[in-house]
Amino acid sequence: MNNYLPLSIISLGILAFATLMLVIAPGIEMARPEPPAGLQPYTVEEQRGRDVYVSMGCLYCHSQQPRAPEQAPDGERGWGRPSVSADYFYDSPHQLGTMRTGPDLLNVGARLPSESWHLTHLYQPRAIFDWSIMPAYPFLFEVKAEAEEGDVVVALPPEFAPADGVVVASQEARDLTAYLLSLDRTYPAPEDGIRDDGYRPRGDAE
Amino acid sequence: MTAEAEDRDVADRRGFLKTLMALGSGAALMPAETAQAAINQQPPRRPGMAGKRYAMLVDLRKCIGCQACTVSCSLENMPPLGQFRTTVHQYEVQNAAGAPDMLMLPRLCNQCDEPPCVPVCPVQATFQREDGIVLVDNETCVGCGYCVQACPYDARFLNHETQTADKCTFCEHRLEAGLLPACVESCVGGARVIGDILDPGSEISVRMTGRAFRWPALINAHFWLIVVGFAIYFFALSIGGWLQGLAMLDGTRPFSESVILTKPYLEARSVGGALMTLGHIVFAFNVASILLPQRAPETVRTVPAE
Repeated sequence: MNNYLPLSIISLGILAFATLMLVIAPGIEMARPEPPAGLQPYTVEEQRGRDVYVSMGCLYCHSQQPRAPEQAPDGERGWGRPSVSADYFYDSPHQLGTMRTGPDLLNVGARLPSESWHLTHLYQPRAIFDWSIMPAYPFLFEVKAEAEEGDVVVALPPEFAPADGVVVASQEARDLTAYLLSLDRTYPAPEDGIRDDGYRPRGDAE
Repeated sequence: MTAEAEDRDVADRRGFLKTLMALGSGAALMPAETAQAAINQQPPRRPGMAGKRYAMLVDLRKCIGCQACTVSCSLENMPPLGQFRTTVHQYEVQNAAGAPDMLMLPRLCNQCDEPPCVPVCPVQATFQREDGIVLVDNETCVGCGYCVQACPYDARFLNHETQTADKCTFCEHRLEAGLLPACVESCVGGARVIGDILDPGSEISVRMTGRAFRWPALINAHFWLIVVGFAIYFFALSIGGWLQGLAMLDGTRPFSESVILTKPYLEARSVGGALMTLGHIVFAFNVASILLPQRAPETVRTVPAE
């Protein structure tokens, strides 16, 4: 093999073909300029919380892509309907994730709509589930002797509360909670939303 | 000329031009062969012991000029009487203190990286192998002596029995059989070291760089820490992940079950990961130990000549 030119042309051709079929064609097919009617853009606070979500690496344990009922019982667990590409209209970068060490979070705002619950859980997950392996995020909180005007105090069971003083949520923790509460894709999927539903005919909702 | 013939003629001319263009563009795409035969342009090396580069180190501090190498080489390779592939020259010199002294200079073919003797051969009888050894094909050699003249180290001679060029071969016939060259084997002072300089662990590489692994056992420790750590990590996560997936796919089992059952596997993963980390630290330590200055040079004692 002395002539590398045909080899290079063929390999570049295969690469170009694969890119066309696996990246460009699905990109054209799934490009959706229209956000779904039920989806609101993130507020400034929610977007800041989303940045916290990204910087803490939440996606290493939490996915944001509920599966179809044929694939996994995500609907039974309350994680929501199968997502479609339009659900991620305002998500950049997307936080789809692949690991499910923790539950899927695309609809966590609908499933767990309490700010207080999230603050407690972020401060110390074991305060709510003793079996939880999620890391605690105490550095997103402050321990103060007394709550001041406008502070959000975290409700804690006595064994997890500090000996004296109160735990107060920082702005980051409140932003993150606002983002988690905004995760709600319970509106019906757009009619033209494309997703892999196996052999189920289009529009045959469960 | 009929119109038909003229048409054909035009078509032919057009075809010819097309061919010419195709050839031209083809030539532009083809890598051009570089011109050979520039002065001292080395021809491609011929096959030898793959992946090696033999070299010899002679520790002048250890040579006592006993000529054991000269004798054993002659016994091994049988050059004609009075001609030698290696020998030890002896010089009378002034040492650093200004006193007269003897200097031993063992000489043999250096098996140069760019041997000047090779390109001058008009019949390509002499060549260098991929393992660095320069040889003479004495069935092709015409005995012109160009290579003898080209060698700056006077390492070649015309064998006056065969009338062809002759030189040290690093006893490649012995190397191939796993033996040391005759001169290396017979050297009483251990002054000659032969080896593969591409192998960083070889005696010659260690002697040339002056850097050896201070604790060679750490190489094994590194290997086994990584292998065992990785095995624990891999199997723990594979089994745990499989069971976690099965639990998650079963809608009748709560999500917490999929978390709780992975805990022992995650703990095993931490053990495996810790072993691997330890292995990396051992490796870094071992490499750093080579880079530290080490092994003060052997003291050279000059014994004044009586």
